[in-house]
Amino acid sequence: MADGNPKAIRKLEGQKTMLGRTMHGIAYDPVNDEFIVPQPFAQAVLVFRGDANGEVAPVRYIQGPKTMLSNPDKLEVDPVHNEIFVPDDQGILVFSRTANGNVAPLRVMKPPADVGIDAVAVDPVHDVVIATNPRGTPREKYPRVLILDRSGDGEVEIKGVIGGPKTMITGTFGVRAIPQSGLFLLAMNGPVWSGPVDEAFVGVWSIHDNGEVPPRWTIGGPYQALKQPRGMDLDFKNKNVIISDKVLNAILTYHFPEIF
Amino acid sequence: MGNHRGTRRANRFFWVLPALLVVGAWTILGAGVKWLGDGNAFRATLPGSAGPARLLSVQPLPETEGAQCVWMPASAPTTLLAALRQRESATPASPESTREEAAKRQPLWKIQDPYPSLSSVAVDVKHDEVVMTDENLFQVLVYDRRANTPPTASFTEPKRIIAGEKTKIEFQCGLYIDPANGDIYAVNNDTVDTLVIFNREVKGDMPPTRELRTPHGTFGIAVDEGRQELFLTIQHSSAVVVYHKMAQDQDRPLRILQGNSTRLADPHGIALDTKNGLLFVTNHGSIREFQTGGSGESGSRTYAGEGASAMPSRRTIPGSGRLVPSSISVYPIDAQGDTAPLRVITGPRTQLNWPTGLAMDPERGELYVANDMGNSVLVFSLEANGDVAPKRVLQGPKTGMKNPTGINLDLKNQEMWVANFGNHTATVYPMSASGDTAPLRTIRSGPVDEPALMIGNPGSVAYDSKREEILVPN
Repeated sequence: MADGNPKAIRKLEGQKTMLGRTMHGIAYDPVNDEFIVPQPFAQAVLVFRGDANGEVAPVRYIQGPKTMLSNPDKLEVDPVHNEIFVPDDQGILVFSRTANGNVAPLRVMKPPADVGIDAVAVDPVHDVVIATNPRGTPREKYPRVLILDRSGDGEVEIKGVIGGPKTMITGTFGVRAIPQSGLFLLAMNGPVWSGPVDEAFVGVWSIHDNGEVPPRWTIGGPYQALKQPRGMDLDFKNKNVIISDKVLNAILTYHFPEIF
Repeated sequence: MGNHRGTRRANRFFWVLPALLVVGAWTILGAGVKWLGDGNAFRATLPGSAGPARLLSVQPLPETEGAQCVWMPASAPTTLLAALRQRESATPASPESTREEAAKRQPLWKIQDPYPSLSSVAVDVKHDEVVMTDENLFQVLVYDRRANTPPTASFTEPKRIIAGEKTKIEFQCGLYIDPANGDIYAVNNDTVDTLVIFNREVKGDMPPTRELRTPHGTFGIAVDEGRQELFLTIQHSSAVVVYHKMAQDQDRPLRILQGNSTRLADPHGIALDTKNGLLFVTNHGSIREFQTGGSGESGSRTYAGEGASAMPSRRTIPGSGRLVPSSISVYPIDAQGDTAPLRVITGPRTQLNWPTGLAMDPERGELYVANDMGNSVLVFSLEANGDVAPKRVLQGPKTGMKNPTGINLDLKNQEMWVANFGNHTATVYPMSASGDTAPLRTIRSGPVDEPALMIGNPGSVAYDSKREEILVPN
């Protein structure tokens, strides 16, 4: 596995890709061998073949007035139910995985009015969506994680809320579900968007947790290598967790069999 | 999708559905069938009257290895899914000592470029120095203008480095050097909403000499010294904001250029023709419309520390996004509001592909473009309009360029500087250089052929399990 400063195997860049040099989200669909990227500046969701390389166009893209896309910054794909989840200004927009062009979302999951959703993960086994609420509500100080009904449409049922001082969550970025175990990962990057945060870590909770529950495990911190973790993904075969860190400008791989 | 047990099971017996039998014309009709023979052969009587189904035979399957589904009989007291959920909830939270030990575990691997990635460049002509921003390690680097890294050296040591938490430098992409005093204006991109200005003498981990709160996502910078105005492009708002050159802290912009008519589309570089009163902006091509009006920057999403009012709008109109070809848009230098460009350079003949840095030669009336995805410098006439070819193109393997994002013109020495984000170099050419021309000098921030990962603000990561590859968006 790559370590140090290896040459990239592939690069996808340039005008024809419809990408930009400011991308904050990606999801790989192992069932259909595609990866999906939100393009916020053009209000689009781009789908590429798994082996895309160079200056190649996406195989599909969702864009246009019917899409309701406003600031698509992160997303998640559910290859079991063939859906793409995009947290956006109006809620969580849920598209068909094969949607192409100017298409409306299948449904819009709307959390309570004062709750802004930043990132989502999908657990299709347990039929839940794990959503981050990075700023809390006007009345609450701490950011939170919400467990939502995956199939929600309109006002969505909140099945659980994880937040409060004992959770150690003072900021959130990415989130990733582990459907096989009902656990999920959360990038706890602290209360500020910039600069190193020594207390940062990637935390592990269960979708059944509710309330002020501390993480079952913490990876890379607090007070360890991670300084501003952003996104995570899982290598199930080798039981590794792969984490991007903004301050380090690095990708770190941890062996963590405990959660697999 | 279900769970498989991946371990070998010994001596597992499975029911063999009685739809087919090994030998003979046995069928199960609900009547009894007698097993008349030994283990190798059967003789059966035809079923008589109807009756309940009865076990006819049991034959173990060969032992297997590898993953296999666990068969659950219909009468099982629980389902697989329920069993999994029961297992999860029964999983105790880890003991405290084990959790603490696991938290200290070090990463197996770390993908990281240890060398500076040069994103922008500016010459301090008065002091014979050249300044660069490093978007990888969050530094401002100052070199001797005439430095030229020997082929055998790993890199050239900067004369001065400004770096550290106190500097508020993070993902910098634009530079301006005050020609009078050498002050360094360094533009932070989309993670720190602050323009930082350093006195020329500053080095190490020092706070900025002056700071200015800016809209989110600043990229390019240009200064009109005559009018003492400072121009910034704003990616996230598709705008240009103009401040007084000495603005600081929460000072408001003097003017904002933003709106659907402007054709600003993910703006990057910026250059000024103060003689003719023109403003040039490079655009990567992503467009979305903004709700304008009102007193300031507001949006459905709030971000920590958003600055004063009278900022560009960030309230996007849903579903308004589209992509257009890369371009250079031209405006009156005092343009504000929703002002259409005077002209736009765009089209296939222009060769523009994510054009980034921009510089202007007032003597020759030429515009120089660091053309990121073209690995080229394109030179246009200041009067260029529409789908026109550049007057000159600097491109080719001898140039040493790789993803050039920064460009600066040293008019005194008639040299063109290029910051190459893709290969740890800044390269210098005669301003008239064209074709596949080798640089006059090269300043390297890393060893020759050392990969430049170009990882900048990795907001996410994905694992391609099929190819065992890590995907990193930037």
